[in-house]
Amino acid sequence: MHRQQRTPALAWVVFAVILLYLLVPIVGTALYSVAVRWDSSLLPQGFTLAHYQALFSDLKAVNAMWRAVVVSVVTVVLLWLIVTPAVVAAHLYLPGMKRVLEIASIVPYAFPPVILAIGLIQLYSKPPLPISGTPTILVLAYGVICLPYMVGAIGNSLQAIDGHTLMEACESLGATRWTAYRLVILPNIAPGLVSSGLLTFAVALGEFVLANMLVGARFETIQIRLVQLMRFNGHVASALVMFYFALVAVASLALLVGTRRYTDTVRGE
Amino acid sequence: MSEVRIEHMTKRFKHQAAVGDVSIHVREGEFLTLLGPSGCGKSTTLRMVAGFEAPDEGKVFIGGKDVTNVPARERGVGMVFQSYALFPNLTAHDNVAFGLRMGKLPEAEVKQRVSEMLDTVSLGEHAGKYPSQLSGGMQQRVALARALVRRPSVLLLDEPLSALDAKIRVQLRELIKDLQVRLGTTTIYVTHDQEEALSLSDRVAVMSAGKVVQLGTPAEIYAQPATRFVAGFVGTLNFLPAEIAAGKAVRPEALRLYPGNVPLPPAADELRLAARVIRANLLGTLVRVRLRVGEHELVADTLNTGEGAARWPEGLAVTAGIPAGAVFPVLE
Repeated sequence: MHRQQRTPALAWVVFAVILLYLLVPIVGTALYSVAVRWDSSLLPQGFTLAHYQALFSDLKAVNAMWRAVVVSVVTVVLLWLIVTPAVVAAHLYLPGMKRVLEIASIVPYAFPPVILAIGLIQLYSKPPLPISGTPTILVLAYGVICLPYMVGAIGNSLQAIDGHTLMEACESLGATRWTAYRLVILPNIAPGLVSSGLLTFAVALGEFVLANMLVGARFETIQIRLVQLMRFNGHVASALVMFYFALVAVASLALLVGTRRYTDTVRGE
Repeated sequence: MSEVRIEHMTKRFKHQAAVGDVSIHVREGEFLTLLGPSGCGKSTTLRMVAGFEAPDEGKVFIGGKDVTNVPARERGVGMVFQSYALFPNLTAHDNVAFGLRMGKLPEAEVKQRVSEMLDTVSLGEHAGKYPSQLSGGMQQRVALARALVRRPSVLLLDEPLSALDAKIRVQLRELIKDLQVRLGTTTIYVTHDQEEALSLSDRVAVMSAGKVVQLGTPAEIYAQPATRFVAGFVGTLNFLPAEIAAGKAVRPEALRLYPGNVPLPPAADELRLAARVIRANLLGTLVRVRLRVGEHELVADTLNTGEGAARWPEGLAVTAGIPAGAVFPVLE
């Protein structure tokens, strides 16, 4: 019997190919953003930080970043506030509604963004809710297309901890429902909230079609500015991509640390 | 510590009675087990005492107080679940402390009581670990500590050992009994395992199809099962063929086996039947021998004399002796 398994060489090859596939675009963009020129040579001709300087002195780009960040953060928070109670309620008290919630959340996701945008514009250009062209409609549209991430992630974490029995355990120990949600349910679904929040943040930050069609020039976001920048300077555009790549990374880290803190506070109570 | 009275309790799920008119009086400090197959209503009965389900009819009294409409969190009961139900985000210490903190106890007292309780269940050195870092048996000990540290009026256990390995199960069973005796906590224990029921309980309520079919001490339940169902569920039983003794039964360990080549002792007050060995299985202390008597089968448990199953080879002609005093009537 050969119980000792050697790692087959093919596994490493597959792994390396995937890694290259994922890393090459990022490394390429990073290099392009610091290259003086890189059009007629194999490797960049000289390095410079001038493109970053140009980016940060471009007031339009800086403002677009802020707008995108605000829209993304508001989307995440809004979704957390709406989806968490709904999923918790379905899992703990209306188990038959779990599937309904999952399917309902996927439906809008299946619409092509262009169709979604046109529909939204038509519906919300006139009373009672004339919000077409405002950041509000952008946030709400992002919220809808990111629903499945949230519903799925929160549902999975609740499933994993057997929320129903934990609630009963809490009650038998003298806790009210609210205390049980706060001290037991919420901390245990926090990882699901964080991961789906990050995904939502990244999707909202990187979205172009809806932003362009719903608000366009009236509320330029990072992606809209990126497309404009690409037309006259690819190096600055690359710098912008690298910047928002860093932004997502920092946001991930901040949220992860934040969750750990939160769980620790609950623990220490 | 309080007595529990369940009076005419009925619970229907989709018009089908899960529990039908059950009345049980659990005395102060008593260990009572609800024993029955899955779906017999034992867990539902327990959950109504805990306050997780509301009875459609009937009442629950804890310590003489009607708690039928009192929410679970105000009943002061301790609950242990089959799935442990520990809070994954809290350490063993904080899990046990949870209920005390809900009771707004001063933190110094919480610390002291929690560490005492964890020492009692031999988990003192694991206080800082999270449930995921503990074995199943350890987790259930934390859950037991969490329920007991509040000094509950009643301890309720819902199949607490079913998810554990056989060996751990016996260890934890002993621990539960030790703690219950030491603390004198009134306890209701739900299980489908007759061995747990017989070894732990002061009294056993055997349930079937939402009703209590027999309530008595383990010895009574075992020696005089009221119905065929109880007899079949608790231990193994031989129902005697109609032509020998209709409607009567005998326990396997009461049977005496005499190998064919050994002269029979003088006839005591026992019924003797010629039999042939079908198969013998070594169970450890006992050897279980399946016998053919005419067209019927009987099971006899004999002490293992050291040869194990080899003493009863297949086809061996034996005489089976059934002592008259060991035969008892069984209702359908």
